[in-house]
Amino acid sequence: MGVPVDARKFEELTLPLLDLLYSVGVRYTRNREDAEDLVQETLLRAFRAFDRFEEGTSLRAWLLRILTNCYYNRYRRRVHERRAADLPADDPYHEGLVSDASLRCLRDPEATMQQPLVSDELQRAIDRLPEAFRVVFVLTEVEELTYREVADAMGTPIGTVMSRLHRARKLLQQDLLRGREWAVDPEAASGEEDVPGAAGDGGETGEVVRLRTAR
Amino acid sequence: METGSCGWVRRFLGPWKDGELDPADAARIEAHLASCPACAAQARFEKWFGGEVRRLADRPRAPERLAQRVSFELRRAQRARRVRRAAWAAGSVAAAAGLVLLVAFVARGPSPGSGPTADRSVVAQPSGAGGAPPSASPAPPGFQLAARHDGDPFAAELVDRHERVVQRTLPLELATADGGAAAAWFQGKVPFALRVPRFADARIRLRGGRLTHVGDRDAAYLGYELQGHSLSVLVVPGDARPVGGERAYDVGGRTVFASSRGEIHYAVFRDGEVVYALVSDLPETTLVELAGQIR
Repeated sequence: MGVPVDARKFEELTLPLLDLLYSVGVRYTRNREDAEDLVQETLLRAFRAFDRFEEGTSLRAWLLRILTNCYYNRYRRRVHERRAADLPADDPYHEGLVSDASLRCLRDPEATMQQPLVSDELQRAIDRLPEAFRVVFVLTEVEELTYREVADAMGTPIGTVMSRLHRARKLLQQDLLRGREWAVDPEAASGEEDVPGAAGDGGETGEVVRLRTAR
Repeated sequence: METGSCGWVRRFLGPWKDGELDPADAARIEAHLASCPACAAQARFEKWFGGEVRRLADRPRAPERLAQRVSFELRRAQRARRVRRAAWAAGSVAAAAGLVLLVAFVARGPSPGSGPTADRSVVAQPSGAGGAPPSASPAPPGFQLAARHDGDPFAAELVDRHERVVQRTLPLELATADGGAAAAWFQGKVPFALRVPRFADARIRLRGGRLTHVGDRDAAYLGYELQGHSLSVLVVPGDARPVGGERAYDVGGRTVFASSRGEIHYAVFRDGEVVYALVSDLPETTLVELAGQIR
């Protein structure tokens, strides 16, 4: 258990993480001003609750967990109220509309790699991902958090992080590389919510993979 | 080695690429990739895609004002917490206050304008401080104070703020070369009316400022630059700290105390309601002279 911390010390610890919190806040809210409010609320809550932070654990995961909770508790409702009308009716990535069968894999990955991605297109494609996939994807691929940290931040099992990340990658690849060589690859198209037998969640039988769970 | 099926390998290429797999499973995947060109191509593709995402994805940086807002709100939350605790802590606070008064009595130097010789703790001894100031005027006369201040937490904090801003672990919240704009920014954020120091030496440029703490008091931090050297000026409420130092100088009509910690020198003086502290790796005599210039 930690102890109450003074504002200056708290600031020292958390200011280096401000860009990360803000970046994730922007991914959640898709709006910079909302993200600022979210980060401010997160840090104030964290300051008041700092005696509950366990030393030796990941501070950024702890702060991201608080940020996630803030977002779901208060923010999401408000933001969704405001944006409900703005959601495109034909948004193919609106949660639940993407069938597993539409997840594809490349027939000719070598040829695809010849053409670089375009930044704006990537940004828009990330924003189109369903929220849970979007945040997991950004935390691992862009912010380079470990799966364990992402699981702690999202409050989900590590197997869920793995499967969401897998789906997010396939959705993005499909979205961005549409028009390049595609073929259905049922092996890579699995989209179940949890990876069966991912050790660390108390794996079941079936395909088993062992993660570096020591971290 | 058992290499696993294509399906198994493809499923876990992501965690493999991310370095998240147990070494034994990572080795199984690598063995498979060595013997399966299709999966190897897919693995190269996954790495390429991850690299493209990292290269291109926008990582929005928090705007300066967010750090300021958070800093301000944290201090407000802290004050609220202090008020709540003050009731039950009254006894120990009174005891601590007594201690502070005692320290202040011991450490306080001569009052401004009275000159260092008015204090019996001053040993009349020229400082002989080395290092030529950037301006041509002679180094001011210095006197060695009997008391050493190496253990002074005030000094430690001053040097700490300076070094952390220089190393950019404490960002400037405000970037401006305009003293008037800086004064306006600090309005209401520090418990005194800040006059942003202006120096007679025109080569000194204001870079910006931020809120900081010295002891438990809100203070203003101002960052300047002189010929590639960083100069920090901290403005602290005058009742927060006693003013003293290893050496005392009379310069520009005020008494300036100077001390050093390693390569870093600092000069402090009282001006009405506030205490100014200049911290830099500039020579001590330069700092003292700059302190004398502040208007």
